[in-house]
Amino acid sequence: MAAAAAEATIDGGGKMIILISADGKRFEVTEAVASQSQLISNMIEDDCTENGVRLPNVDGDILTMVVDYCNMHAGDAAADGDTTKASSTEELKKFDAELVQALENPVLFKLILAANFLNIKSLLDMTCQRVADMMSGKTPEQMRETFSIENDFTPEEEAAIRQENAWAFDD
Amino acid sequence: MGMLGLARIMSMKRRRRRRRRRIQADGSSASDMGRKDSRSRSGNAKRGPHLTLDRLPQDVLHQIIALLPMQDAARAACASRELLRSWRHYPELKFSAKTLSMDGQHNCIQGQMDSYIKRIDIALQNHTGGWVKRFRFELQFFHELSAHHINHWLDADIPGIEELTLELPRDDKMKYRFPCKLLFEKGCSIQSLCLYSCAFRPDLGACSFRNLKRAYFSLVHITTEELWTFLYNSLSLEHLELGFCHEIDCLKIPCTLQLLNFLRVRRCNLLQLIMSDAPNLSTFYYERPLIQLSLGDSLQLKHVNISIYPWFNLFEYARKELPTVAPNVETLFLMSANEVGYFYPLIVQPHGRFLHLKYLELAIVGPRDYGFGYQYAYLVTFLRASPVLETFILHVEESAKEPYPLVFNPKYLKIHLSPEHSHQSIKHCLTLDNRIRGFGKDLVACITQDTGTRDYQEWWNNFGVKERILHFFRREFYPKSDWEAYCSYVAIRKYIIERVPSSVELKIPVVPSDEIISRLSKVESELLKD
Repeated sequence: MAAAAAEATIDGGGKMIILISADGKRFEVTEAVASQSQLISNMIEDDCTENGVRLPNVDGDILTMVVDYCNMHAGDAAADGDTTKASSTEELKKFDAELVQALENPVLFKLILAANFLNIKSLLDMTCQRVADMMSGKTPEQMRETFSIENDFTPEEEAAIRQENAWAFDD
Repeated sequence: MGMLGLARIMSMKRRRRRRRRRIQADGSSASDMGRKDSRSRSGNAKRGPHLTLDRLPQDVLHQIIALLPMQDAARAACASRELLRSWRHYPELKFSAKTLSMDGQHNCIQGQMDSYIKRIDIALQNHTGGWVKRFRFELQFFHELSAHHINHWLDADIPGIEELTLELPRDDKMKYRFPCKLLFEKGCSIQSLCLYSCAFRPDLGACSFRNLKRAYFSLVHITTEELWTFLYNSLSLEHLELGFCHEIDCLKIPCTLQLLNFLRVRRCNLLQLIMSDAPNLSTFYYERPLIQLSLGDSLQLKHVNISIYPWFNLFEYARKELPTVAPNVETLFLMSANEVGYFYPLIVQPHGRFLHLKYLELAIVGPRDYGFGYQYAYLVTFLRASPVLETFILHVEESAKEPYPLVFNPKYLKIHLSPEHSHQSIKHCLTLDNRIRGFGKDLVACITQDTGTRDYQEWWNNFGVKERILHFFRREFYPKSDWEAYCSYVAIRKYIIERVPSSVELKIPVVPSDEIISRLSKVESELLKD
């Protein structure tokens, strides 16, 4: 009850939460930062973050990126009033672009999984868009090569779907 | 029980919902988070050492594929089974000459009809499950299609659909009537409806269009009364476009359309009157002959675009009426085939002003007889009525015969500014063509300053009067166009440029060659010596 009472008085940013990655690395972040994850936000509401939040599916290096991202975007949610704290839109765009541009595929996918698991919509949208941008304009063969996709069609199946979507190969 | 206890009870429901995720977060039961949404997958057989694209959770993969343009998504479908599965969840389904792989001429030979129909049937079957939000039937080439097929397809589509486009052959042999009742009887989820070449006949009281936000009707058979019924039942409508709807003689928009902000009406031949009471209309486009416009004196109306081409004489109407019809207009585009001289004697009437007009673009299109042509003087009344104008662009299509350089005749300016009008003496006054941009209030300021005008007048009297130098041209074989270009150039250099602030971009349309400038400037100085 005491913890709940304390929680009720907090104005959203003060209390710290410990996030623990799969390999045991600990990250201390404010509730406001962590709450961008809908998963953690729910846990905060349900009052089960006191002993740290273990994230057994997220490696430390990925969680570092996620925490960086959340720190950078912490202003977004509270942008209504406090504009000084929020990073400028330009800065954020630059940060986001740099974050995803340089990533190797497996790391990008791990980041997508983490965003999906932690339920951070803006990060998931951004990383998915990055993959879509990379797929755009490629042939199926190039997509397989770029993303190490195994062709698991039988020849007949592949011929059928190519026939069905023949229009997409026109140009 | 205190408030906290109550809050706990209230959150129990929520917690049950989240139980699964929370267990995973605790690490106690989530063994493979990559699999967590892969309900239909066949275990871990495919999970290799590397995480690859098609091993992402299905819903994530669907999201990625949905972000692709349709053609890329269709190609991705050919890469692997997982990607094909995501393609089946693509939110848009489009049937067009391209997606049906028709030949270049879009010929639909009799015998092929059935195969195309079958392909559409199969594609629709492959996309069941309510994933598709946008259906586009672009079937302009499908001349032998029957209403039965279309109704069947539309019937199959309904659940969850947000956008529907139906384009049928322009010849309208089919006389297809859009099944309003089928789609709208219970008020369906469609937010955007685009119809081309069919009849739209909403039954009174039977249809509700309450979710509809955007409607585009082109070549649609709909009567004035039916349109009223439709609009009256479309309370969420934000965007309305009507084109080539030749059965409408009067477009009335009820004031209950509080959200309507965009209205475009194009080439509806019988239309006589547009009367809008929509209070938040902010953008209005209109094409074809000038009719009575009553837009409820909308204070929100900021953008107006009217083109009456190939009819003529729009500017006078706009100058007189628009300050009342759209008192807060900020951007205004007007286009006509010609503006002929009904404006004389030029009386500067106390018309309303465009107090908020920032952007004014005028276009006069098509070949004209300059001798009879519009005296561009009238444009100045626009400029003078617009105290905060920032951008003024005038497009005048040049006659095929000769390019007209920029020529100011100071006589006009003087007359315009003084109370006495001797309009007989007004000749060619002001031509800007589409190579001049960026004139604004500063141009008005600079050409209406007394001193500027007086200097210019003096210079013109000394040099600009054609007769005095005609013999020079006979002697020196300079074509008339050189002389005109030179006059304009000098006029601009001497009397305009220095009065145009540096913030205004001024381009001189016809700059004579250096050689002509130097030769003619000698001529000029000789003349001025006399």
